[in-house]
Amino acid sequence: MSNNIMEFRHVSQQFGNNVVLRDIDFEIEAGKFYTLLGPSGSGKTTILRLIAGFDQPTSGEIYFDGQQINDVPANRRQVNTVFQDYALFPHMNVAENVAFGLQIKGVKKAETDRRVKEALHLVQLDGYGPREITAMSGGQRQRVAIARAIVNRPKLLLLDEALSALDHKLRVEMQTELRQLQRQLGITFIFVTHDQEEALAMSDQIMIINDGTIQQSGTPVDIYDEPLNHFVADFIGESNIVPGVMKADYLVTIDGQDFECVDAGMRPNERVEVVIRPEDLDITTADQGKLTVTVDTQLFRGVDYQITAHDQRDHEWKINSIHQTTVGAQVGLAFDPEDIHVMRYNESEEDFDARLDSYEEDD
Amino acid sequence: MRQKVIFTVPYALWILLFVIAPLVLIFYQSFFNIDGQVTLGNYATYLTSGVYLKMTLNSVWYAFLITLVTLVISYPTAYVLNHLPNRQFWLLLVILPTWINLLLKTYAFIGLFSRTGTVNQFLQFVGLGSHQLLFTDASFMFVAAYIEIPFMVLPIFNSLAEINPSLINASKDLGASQWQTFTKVVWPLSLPGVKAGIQAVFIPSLSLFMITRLIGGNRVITLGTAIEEHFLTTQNWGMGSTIGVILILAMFIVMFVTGEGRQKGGTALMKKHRFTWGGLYLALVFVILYAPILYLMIFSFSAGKTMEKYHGFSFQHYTDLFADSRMITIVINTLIVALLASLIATIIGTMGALVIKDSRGTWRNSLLSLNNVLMVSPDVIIGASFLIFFTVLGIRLGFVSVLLSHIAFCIPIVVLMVLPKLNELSPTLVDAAYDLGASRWQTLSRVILPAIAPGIFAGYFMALTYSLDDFAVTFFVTGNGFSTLSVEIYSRARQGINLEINALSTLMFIVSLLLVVGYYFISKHSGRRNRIVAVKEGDAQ
Repeated sequence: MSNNIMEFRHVSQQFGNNVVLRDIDFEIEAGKFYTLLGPSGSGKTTILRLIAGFDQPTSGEIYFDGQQINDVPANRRQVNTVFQDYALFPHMNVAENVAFGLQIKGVKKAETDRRVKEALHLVQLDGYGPREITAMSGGQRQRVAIARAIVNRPKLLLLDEALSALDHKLRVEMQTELRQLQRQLGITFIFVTHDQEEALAMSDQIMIINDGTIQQSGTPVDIYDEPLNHFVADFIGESNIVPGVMKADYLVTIDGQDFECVDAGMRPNERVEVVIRPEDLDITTADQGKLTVTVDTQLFRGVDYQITAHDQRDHEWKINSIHQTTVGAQVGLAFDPEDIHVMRYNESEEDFDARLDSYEEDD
Repeated sequence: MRQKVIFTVPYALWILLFVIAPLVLIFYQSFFNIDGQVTLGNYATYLTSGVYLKMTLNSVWYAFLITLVTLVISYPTAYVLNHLPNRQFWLLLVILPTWINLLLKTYAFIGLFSRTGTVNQFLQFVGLGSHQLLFTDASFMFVAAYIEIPFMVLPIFNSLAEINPSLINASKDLGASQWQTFTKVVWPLSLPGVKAGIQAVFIPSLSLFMITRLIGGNRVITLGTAIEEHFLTTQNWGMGSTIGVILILAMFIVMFVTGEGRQKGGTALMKKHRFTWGGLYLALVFVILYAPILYLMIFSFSAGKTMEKYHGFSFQHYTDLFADSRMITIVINTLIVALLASLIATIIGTMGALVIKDSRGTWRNSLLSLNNVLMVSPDVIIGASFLIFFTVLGIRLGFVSVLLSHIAFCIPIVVLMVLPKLNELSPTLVDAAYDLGASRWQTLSRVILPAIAPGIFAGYFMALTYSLDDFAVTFFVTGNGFSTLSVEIYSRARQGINLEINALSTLMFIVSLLLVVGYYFISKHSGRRNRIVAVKEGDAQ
């Protein structure tokens, strides 16, 4: 076996007639930062609860360190969780909360004290041990919850929407800190979120979940640059998605106009979807662009302008540009062949990877 | 799984034996005549004799008047209270008298209303002459209303406090006058509280037999008195049960009409107003509420033998009290019953709350309804049905029957105090404990129980005061010379004034006060919200 710490094989979960997970398969490599990303109700929290042991799957097998653990209850798993609402025990102070797991295990007092101190140091809460939970701010409670989990030296740390209760600035700060902490401890992190920016910023690997299945998994860059399907392209970042036809390898037609691209391996004249990210579109004069559009709206967002425009066939285009334009103006849109990403309908992840390998090797 | 079974069994047994069985038994008993033959005769007599129907109508009419008087006094009280700074404290002062034994308060009026009593002395002084006050319907209604006021004030206060102040500002902003704001916004929004108050006052007013007996004289004028008479004097249990069934029906009708009016304590912030007229009114209500209690206490230090004239300071009655070995025995009995009953009830009730918390859907709702049956039933019904139950089982009336009854009526109180704490508990807290390696028992003992501890303490405390205070249930199920304080006070009060009782009531008042302060302390330290507003509804019943 490789160093897979966690493995799901054909796992399905059903509550009554409600199918929450359908035939999920994945492997988690030890020591990496994973993110389960999906909209609410997608099944990502269910996966987390199955890993933690709060629920048992309806069918399929869950392996931890090579051992099947379907029936191992939560309190016997070497997995700890940072809960969305932190779930700090209100009748205990900070140190008592952090010491809880060690006390349950019967760790000696001196060692418990030492490890609690160490854990509080790791989350930058030195000296906060005697504080009551109610005296801590949201961000501090977040750190206590992390300390309470990592003090047990779990092989796997689960974080359920762990940053969603924090304000934007604190959230970004905690993202950096969490990433650092993960590297420092070498523990495998599985982070659940619906926030795609958070997922892109922190993860080694992202799994995109929707409708009880894994839509795509891969590194943040892979997923952003080469989304597998419409859902992923739409969910991760902003995108313009238009229907097209793959005329030949490296040549796609949108509304009868041919564009050079870098995708290949499809049947001739296959109907496809074409993705172009708004930041890859450059505004030029009408005669210099590959497409001519009319500007509808323009919003200033600080870093850039968010512009919407429509072409002659009424496709709407989103453009992020650092240059200002004029509402109502006719402008051209320029982009390179690399900016075009072509998606096939209903392509599986395996097929997608295989196809990519087939023509990338040719290069 | 084992844990679940262990918790379910005692609570389920309680529901079966002390909630369902007594209700079934009282219904069953109503089909037997005094000779033990099955018959519909009781219902026939009830419907045709005229005496019973007239008595029922009378009872309903008096209950209506008492409720009306109570409402008229209580609504303005609640309204003014709600505008005071430190309103929770003032509310506590309104509620405080409910923690003092109902019989002692009633007893105070025997002294106040007697032919040569303080009220008559005052009437003579202002030239109105002396009147027969005791044993009149008016005095019965007055005392009943006096007892019930806090139970009406509390729900109205709570529903007024829940009204968002910006609604009132919005009403004024839209051009409504003070009066229009009241009639069109405040009053409709406080209706749930009014309904809950009516519910809390009307049913007990149908069944308050001890006040009828002590203040109204020996005439049978309420359903409660009739039940007590049939069960304990004429021994016609069949007829008594029939009236009991009628009373249960009346209870359901009232509950149906007033709807689900259960109110919780709320905490909305209000602007601080100064109401001079309101303050005056409130002061008057407080005087009325506390005068009888102070009156009792003052005369406990009188050298005389009656509550008519103060004869100079003396500790004589306290010395008598402490030399009264029968009384001392009864105090100890009462304490033993109360401590044991509330302890056992707290254990079973906490288990029950955990069982209810784990149940879902209709199952959960049925459990909650069954739990509340004893909370809403009038004491006479509980007492009479338990009496039948113990007799059927062949349990001798005395210490055991009293203890079992007290445990039985304390359990739902504990459940109602613990359950909100359990519901407040975030489910992830339990998950977190498992996640950190705790077993089921460790999760229970180290996370769940400590987190709900304030609820358990409050439940124990409430159970304790309910038990210490109970009169009606104990009165029905005691026997063989076993007596508790309330029962003893009742029988002594029926014989007339005895200043030893005054001495006793002073001591009990002080103990109650300490208990209330203790409870206030617990609840203040237990939660984010100060919930001092738990009244003892049992008193009203």
